Amino acid sequence: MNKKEYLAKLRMYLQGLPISELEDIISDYEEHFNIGISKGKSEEEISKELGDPKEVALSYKSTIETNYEENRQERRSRTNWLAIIVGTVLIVFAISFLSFIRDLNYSRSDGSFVNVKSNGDLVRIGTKGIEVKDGDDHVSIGWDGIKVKDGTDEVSIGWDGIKIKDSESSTSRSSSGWSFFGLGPGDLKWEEVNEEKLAKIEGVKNISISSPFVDIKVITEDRNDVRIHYHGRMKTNVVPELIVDKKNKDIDIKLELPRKSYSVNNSTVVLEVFIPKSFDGNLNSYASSGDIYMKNIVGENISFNTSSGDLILENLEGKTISITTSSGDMSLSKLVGDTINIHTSSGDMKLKDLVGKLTVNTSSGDLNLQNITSEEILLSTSSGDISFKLDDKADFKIKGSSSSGDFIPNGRMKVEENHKGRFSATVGNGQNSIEIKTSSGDVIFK
Amino acid sequence: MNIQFKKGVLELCVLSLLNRKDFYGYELVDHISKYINISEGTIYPLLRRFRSEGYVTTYLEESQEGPPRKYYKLTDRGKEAFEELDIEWENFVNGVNNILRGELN
Repeated sequence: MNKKEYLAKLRMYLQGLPISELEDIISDYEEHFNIGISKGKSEEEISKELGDPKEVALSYKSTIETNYEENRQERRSRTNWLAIIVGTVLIVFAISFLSFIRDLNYSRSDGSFVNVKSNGDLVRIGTKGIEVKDGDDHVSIGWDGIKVKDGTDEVSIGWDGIKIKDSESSTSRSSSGWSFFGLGPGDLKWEEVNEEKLAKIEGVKNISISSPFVDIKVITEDRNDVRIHYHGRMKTNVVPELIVDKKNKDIDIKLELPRKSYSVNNSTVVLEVFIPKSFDGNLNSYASSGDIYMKNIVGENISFNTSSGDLILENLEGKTISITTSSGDMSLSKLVGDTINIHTSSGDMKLKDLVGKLTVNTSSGDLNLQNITSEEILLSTSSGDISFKLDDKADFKIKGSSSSGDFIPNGRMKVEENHKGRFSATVGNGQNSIEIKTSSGDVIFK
Repeated sequence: MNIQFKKGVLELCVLSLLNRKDFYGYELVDHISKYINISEGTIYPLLRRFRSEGYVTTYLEESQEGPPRKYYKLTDRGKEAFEELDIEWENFVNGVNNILRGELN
C-alpha cells in the first residue's frame, strides 16, 4: 500500500489512544515515510518494511498497558522498603515518646528512660534509639540506622545502604531513592579487578583519596612516586572506576561509580595507595562505607571522613589530624599532632598513645582512652561512655559535668568534687587540663 | 525468534546505539534492520516507551537532505538502563554458551 493508505490504516487502529499521542505517533511514521522517499525508496517498500499497521498499532497499545503494570509493581516494592524503615524508626520513637509523656520523672535530659548498666553490659532506650551492648556484641537502632556487631562481624543498615561485613569480605548494597531491590543477586557477576597506576610526587602538596564501599589502605614506602593498586574480586553489578587526576600540586585518587545504586557481594577489593616516605603534605581520605587503614605517615593536615566505614590509623604525625565519621568505629594509636579533632555520631573509639591538643565530640559512641599526652583535652559525649586510663606520668586538672552519668575516679586522683553531676579532680601536678561534658554517659578513670 | 526475547534484545540494541550517538528514527531502523530481521514498525513504539520512561529525550533538527528529523538522545537514566541490560546480556550469552558448548557433568 502507499503512504496515504498506510497512515490512514494506522490511524484507524490507533483509535482509543489520547488524540495528542495518536497524532504524535502518526507524525513519527510520516517522518519515516518522508525520509525513506527522499532516499529513493518506494512507498510500497516502506510499507512492507514497517509491517502490518494493525500489528504496529497493537504494540503501542500493549506498551501502555505494560508500563502501568510495571510501575505498579515497582511502586509496591518501593513502598515496602520505605514502610520497614519508617516503621522501625516510628517504633523507636513511639516507645520513648509515650513513656516520656506518661511519666516525666523517668526521663533523663538526654531523652533516655531506660538505662541499665552492669559490668560490660548495657541496655539503653531513649529518644535517640535503642542500644544493647553485651561485651563485644552490640545492637543499636537509631536515627542513623540499624547496626548489629558481633566481634568482627557487622551488619549495618543505614540511609546509605546495607553493608554486611565479616573479617574477610563484605557485601554492600546501596541505592539512590528507595528501590533497593531493583536488581536481584542473579544479576550480579564475579568481577576481578587488578589495576595499577603511578603518579609523580614532585611538587605535590595534596593527596586525596575517595572510595564508596571499597576499603582504602595507605602505606608509606621508600619510593619516589605514588603507586596505586586497586585489586580484588567481588560479585557485583557495578565496578567502580579508578581515576587518578594530577593537577599542579594535587593528586586526586578516586573510585567512581557509574551510578548511585549498586549491589556488591563478598568483596575483597581494596584500594592500596603507596606513598613515598618523603611526602609531608596534606592527605584527605574519604570513604562512604569502606574502611580506611593508614600507617606511618608524616603530613601537614591529615583528614578522614567516612559515613559508616571504620578507621584504623597507626603512627601518624601532622599539624592537624581530623576525623569525622557517622557510625564508623575507630582504632587510633600513636597519633601526634598540634590538634587532633574527632567527631563521630555513634562510632566507638579506641585512642591510644596520642600526643597533642585533643577534641572529641560524639553522641552515642563509646570512648576508650589510654596514654594521652596533651595540654588540653576536651571530651564531649551525649550517651557514650568514657573509659580513661591515666598512666603514672599523667598530669592533669580534670573538670567534668554530667546530667545523669557517673564519674568514677581511680585511686591516684585527688578528688575535689564528685556530686550531682559535677566533678573536679587533680592527678599529678594538674599542669594540663581535661574537660569532660556528658549527658548520660559514665566516665571511668583507670 | 520468540517475540518477548526479540523485544528485549531490540531494547538492548537501540540503547547501545543511542549510547554512542544521537539517532533519528529512520537512521536507527535502517541500521538495525541491516543486521537482524525485524518488523521496522516495532522500533518506534520502543522509542516512545523509552521516552515515557525517561531513558531518552527528543529534539528536532532541520536537514538539508529532506524533511526535519526527530533525534533521540540517551539520558543518564537511559545509560544506566543500558549498562544493566548489557550485563544481563553478557551473563545470558555466557550461560547459553556454557550449555551449548560446555561440559556435561
